[in-house]
Amino acid sequence: MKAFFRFLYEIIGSPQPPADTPVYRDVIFPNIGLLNLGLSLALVVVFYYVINRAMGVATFNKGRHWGIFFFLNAVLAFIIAIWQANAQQATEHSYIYWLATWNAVLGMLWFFLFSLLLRRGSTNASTTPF
Amino acid sequence: MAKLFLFGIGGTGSRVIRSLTMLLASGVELPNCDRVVPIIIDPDAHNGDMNRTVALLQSYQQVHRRLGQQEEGFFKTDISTLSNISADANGGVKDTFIFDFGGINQSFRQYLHYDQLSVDSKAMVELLFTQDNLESPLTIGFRGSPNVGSVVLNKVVESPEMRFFADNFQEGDRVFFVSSIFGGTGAAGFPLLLKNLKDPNTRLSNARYLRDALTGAVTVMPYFALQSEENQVIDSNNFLTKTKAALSYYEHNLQGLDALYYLADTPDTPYDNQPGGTQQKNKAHLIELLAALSIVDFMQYSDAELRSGAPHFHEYGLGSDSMEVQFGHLPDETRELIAKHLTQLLYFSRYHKQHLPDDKAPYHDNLKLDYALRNEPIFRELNNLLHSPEFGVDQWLNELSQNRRAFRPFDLTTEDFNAMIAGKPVEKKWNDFFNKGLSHNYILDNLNKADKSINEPDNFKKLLALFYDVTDKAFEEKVKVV
Repeated sequence: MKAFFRFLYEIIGSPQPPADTPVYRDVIFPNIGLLNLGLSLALVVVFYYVINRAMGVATFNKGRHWGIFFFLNAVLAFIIAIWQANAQQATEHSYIYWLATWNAVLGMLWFFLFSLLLRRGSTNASTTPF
Repeated sequence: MAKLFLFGIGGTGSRVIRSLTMLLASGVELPNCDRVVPIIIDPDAHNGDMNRTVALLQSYQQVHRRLGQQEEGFFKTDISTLSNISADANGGVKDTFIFDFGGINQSFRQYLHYDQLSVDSKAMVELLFTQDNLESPLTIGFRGSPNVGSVVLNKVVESPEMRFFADNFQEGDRVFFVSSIFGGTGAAGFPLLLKNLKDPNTRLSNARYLRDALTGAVTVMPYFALQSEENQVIDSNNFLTKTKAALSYYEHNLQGLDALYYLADTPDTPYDNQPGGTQQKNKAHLIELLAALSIVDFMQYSDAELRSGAPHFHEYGLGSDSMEVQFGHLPDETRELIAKHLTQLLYFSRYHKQHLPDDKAPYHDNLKLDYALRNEPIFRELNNLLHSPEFGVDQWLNELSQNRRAFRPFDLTTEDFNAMIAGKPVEKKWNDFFNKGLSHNYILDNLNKADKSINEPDNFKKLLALFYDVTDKAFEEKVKVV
């Protein structure tokens, strides 16, 4: 799993984590990776299954509503990355913000993929976002 | 496949058939028959009431054809033209709901060949008919003169339509007549047609089936008045006198009926005095709806019930008297028969107009409604049937609500589904945060749910099935009783 998340967060190649690299590779990448996946899944479930199925809300299913969750997911992914870096006492470095941005992009990707996979089970948003 | 042959005679006949078509569109069941064959008998080829009834029937027919057989639902009952009941295309009958008089473009005097008659015959004619009768152009009907109608309509029995009807009449088919007793065409046509169909010496084929066929009729007594104007040929002050005369004739001369329904009302606001033509387009009236219900009532009786102790005579009374009739004023039996179905039809029509074109929802996407509503002819036909200002459902409900006596079970001015049933708003629960009673959200949510559960590849059939299911559920869950 560590290898997978290392691959994911270093896929672009540059910039690389600063000197305290092991903290990133051993703790921060897996943590934010798992949290990011869980968060995206949770938001997709809330949008498609809680709001647009269990609660019977049929008017919160437009592309713009999905977009709200999509960007919310990105913002939370950004925050999670910064929080984890701080929590693991990583050295203050501009890389953290780069990592947070990349995490937000990955969050959007997960959200999009989970949406495609799970939307059919929704009652009112099974054709959202398209 | 048992059929109901429904003879709508004169303007009232057309208007009652219009109401029956609306009831059938709403999903009211017509038991003991698989198909209704309306035959409108009115020599006034330009009659406004008749033409919009025909337009409605044609529209209904197209929609039903697309839907095909179904267990329940809007437009469930098959309505067919006379020529459509047989595969034999050589019957010489036009594919229309109207009896073809072939355009009687002459006066009654010409029709009788008055000028060629002997002196004695002329004297007899003058005894039976006024000068006005003789000069009356038959193109606009009989203008309230049954003595004229009874002569002209005698021809009906010798027509290709009547032969075609008799040729295709089968055991188990039923016949029903709708007419008014106080006008010209209906008052003359009903007893005449009945006599000829039941005549033991008739030259029509299937005479035994015709004679034995269960036969019902609704005869509408005066329920409207006409504005009194000088030089108008129809004087509504004579309606009661003519009714009495006709009833006295019926008492002794109507043979072969199994059920006869009488309806009447006290006239209120008089109608425009239009003896016929395109201008004769009266607002739909509660009496016509009740007359249509007499047809449903007749069809609900089994053969055995109708044959025992026939003829059965029926009259109708409201549960409680009111000049603005709501569901609560109807007797229980009537309310149970129509309240839910008419409410469903109203909800469907309203949603179709207010929300359907703009809905962004899975059911809408899956049925490809953005394209279908704009481009597919059957969807445009449905739009006409619901919203045409001439013959649509909305217009019919509006007319009923504006007439006197008014049938006003719905508030047609509101866009709020919770407030559409007059005097019976849907209760909204305080804790029902997202579903405010019968809201757009509630209907949309149920349309999407039904879209997942109904497996139907045809998008038009599925749309109708979705709305029938959802409006049914809405009534059962939110309205419950009226």
